[in-house]
Amino acid sequence: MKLISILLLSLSFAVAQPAIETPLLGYMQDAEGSWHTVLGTAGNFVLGPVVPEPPALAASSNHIERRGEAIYVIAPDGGTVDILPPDAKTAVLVENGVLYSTPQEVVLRRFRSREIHFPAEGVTALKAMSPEYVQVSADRQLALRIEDGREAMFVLPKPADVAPAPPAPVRRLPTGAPQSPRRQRQ
Amino acid sequence: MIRLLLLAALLPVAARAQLAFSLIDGSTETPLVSGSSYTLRSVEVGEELSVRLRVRNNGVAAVDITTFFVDGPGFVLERPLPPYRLQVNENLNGTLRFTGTEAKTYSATALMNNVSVTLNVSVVLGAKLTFAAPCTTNSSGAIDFGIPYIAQAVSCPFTLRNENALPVQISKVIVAGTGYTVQNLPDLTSPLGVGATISFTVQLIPQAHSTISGTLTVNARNYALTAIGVDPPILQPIVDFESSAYASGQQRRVTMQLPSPSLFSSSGLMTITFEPSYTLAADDPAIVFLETNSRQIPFTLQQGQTAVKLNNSTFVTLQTGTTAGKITVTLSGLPGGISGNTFVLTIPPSTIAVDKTIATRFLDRIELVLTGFDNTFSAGSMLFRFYDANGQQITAAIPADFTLNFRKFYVDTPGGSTFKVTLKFPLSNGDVTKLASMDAEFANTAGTVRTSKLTF
Repeated sequence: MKLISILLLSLSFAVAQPAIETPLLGYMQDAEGSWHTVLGTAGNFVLGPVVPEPPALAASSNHIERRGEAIYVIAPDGGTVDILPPDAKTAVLVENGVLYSTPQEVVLRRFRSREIHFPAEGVTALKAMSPEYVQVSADRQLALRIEDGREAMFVLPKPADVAPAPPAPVRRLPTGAPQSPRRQRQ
Repeated sequence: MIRLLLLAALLPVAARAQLAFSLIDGSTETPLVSGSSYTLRSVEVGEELSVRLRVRNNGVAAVDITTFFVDGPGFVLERPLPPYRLQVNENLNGTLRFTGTEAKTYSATALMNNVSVTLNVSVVLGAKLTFAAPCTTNSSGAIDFGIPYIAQAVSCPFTLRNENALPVQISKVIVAGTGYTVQNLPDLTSPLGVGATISFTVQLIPQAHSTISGTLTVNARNYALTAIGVDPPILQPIVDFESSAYASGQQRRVTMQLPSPSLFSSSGLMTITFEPSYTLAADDPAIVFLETNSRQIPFTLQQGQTAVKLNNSTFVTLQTGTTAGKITVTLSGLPGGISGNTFVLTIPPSTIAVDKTIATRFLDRIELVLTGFDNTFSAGSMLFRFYDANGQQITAAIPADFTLNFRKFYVDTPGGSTFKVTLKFPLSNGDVTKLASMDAEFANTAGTVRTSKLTF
């Protein structure tokens, strides 16, 4: 009881003034190559201003190679981690997996786990927006949330026409947690 | 005695003087003077000419009409058979019809009592006019375009064929009458050879819901055109926003169709306006059609189709934002006959929507980061509980009220209610190693939401 009282005392008086800000979901690239901040929450996107190219995201130590018509996921030691199906058109590495498109859908394949399929025709590009979202470019711009258990496809706002920016290099998602390995998401 | 004889001799003259004899063609009336010749308008072979002959009693006493006829090949006078007593100011009308079978000048004598005039008609070669559906011939002999809808074009094909033994010069093909036009008319420079044809179209776009009369003129020959314009049936567009309950934070697929095929090809705009329920929220920029990132989306109707294209696609996506209020969707630019152009989506107040929570323990603090939105703009009241590794609550609920902080945030960053709040719990006293998880309650005017246990 004494311990509980001490804890209660220390915590109840120690809730600091909160920091409140507009949530940043990530970055999307428009057809002209310019980057836009994407603000809001899932299903409620607002485009922020055009920004310089955001810092590269590293999702994995693996990398993707195209060998002939096939797409391979290659480990740092050169070993093959995965070979994508023959109809895979484009791919991007995500945390503990790979996201690829076929003519009819987008597939989120977790290594040593399940696949999740999302209907999406005519996908031309997949780009990491943040550790939690991937931009899916088709006849409209989509955002795929890839967090475990929260996977869902959304529509992104169409960016206004802006002056083209220099081409951006391939971006990859980061591995691991951004702050602490001990975390719980809801 | 001599006086009586003179009076008797002058009586027919007096009677003739009080009778007015005239010829009426359309709206033109021509007095006919005894002993004179008159040329009626020329007609084509086989074309019927119809005019009226009128006798009017302008005198002060009734006069007997004892003679009233027209004598000549091709002429027929339809009138009451004499004798006929014509009262003062009374008219006696006869219909004179003429049809010529050869290209030449025909003559006839018209006799009314003792008034005699000569009537001449020139008959020329012409081409035979035929037409096809949807036009028909009505009971009056007019070319009937049916009962078309206002502003909906109806076209009939026409053909002129020279069935004579000589070429015919077609010099004029025109229409008169509101909404009628001649289309696809070929060059008329050369004469129409024997057995040759030319084709053209007469189109009517009704402008009014009433009888629409017109005239097609080929050379000197007139053909009556008629139609009855009517309003098209009212079509109520069906705009579907998906059937689930409206709420903030949604992306709803919008489709539009008509209950029956469109009578028109047309285009318009679907526009949304937003009326927030709270004064703190002047507007919400997230409430847009995502495909244009604006509050307008173009739509197009194709004649004969029920599906309506939105932004040239089968659907568009409406984002409902994060503010309670009313989203009004209006259709504009709709053609006549389509109505019902306003739809209201009510976004109700709701408890705080938690999109993501992360609880992390650092050496000196526990940090809770929560992302979400509050469509009532009243967030700030919170409650926290901490648990040990066995899930036993080891603190009393810790309340906090950051309503003013949130209010200031919303005032400083207007537009929607999304937020990311970072809450820090400094660990300065006590044995904090037993802390293993926490949960939190967030309240607003719509209620309270509680997180699951967040392990750190």
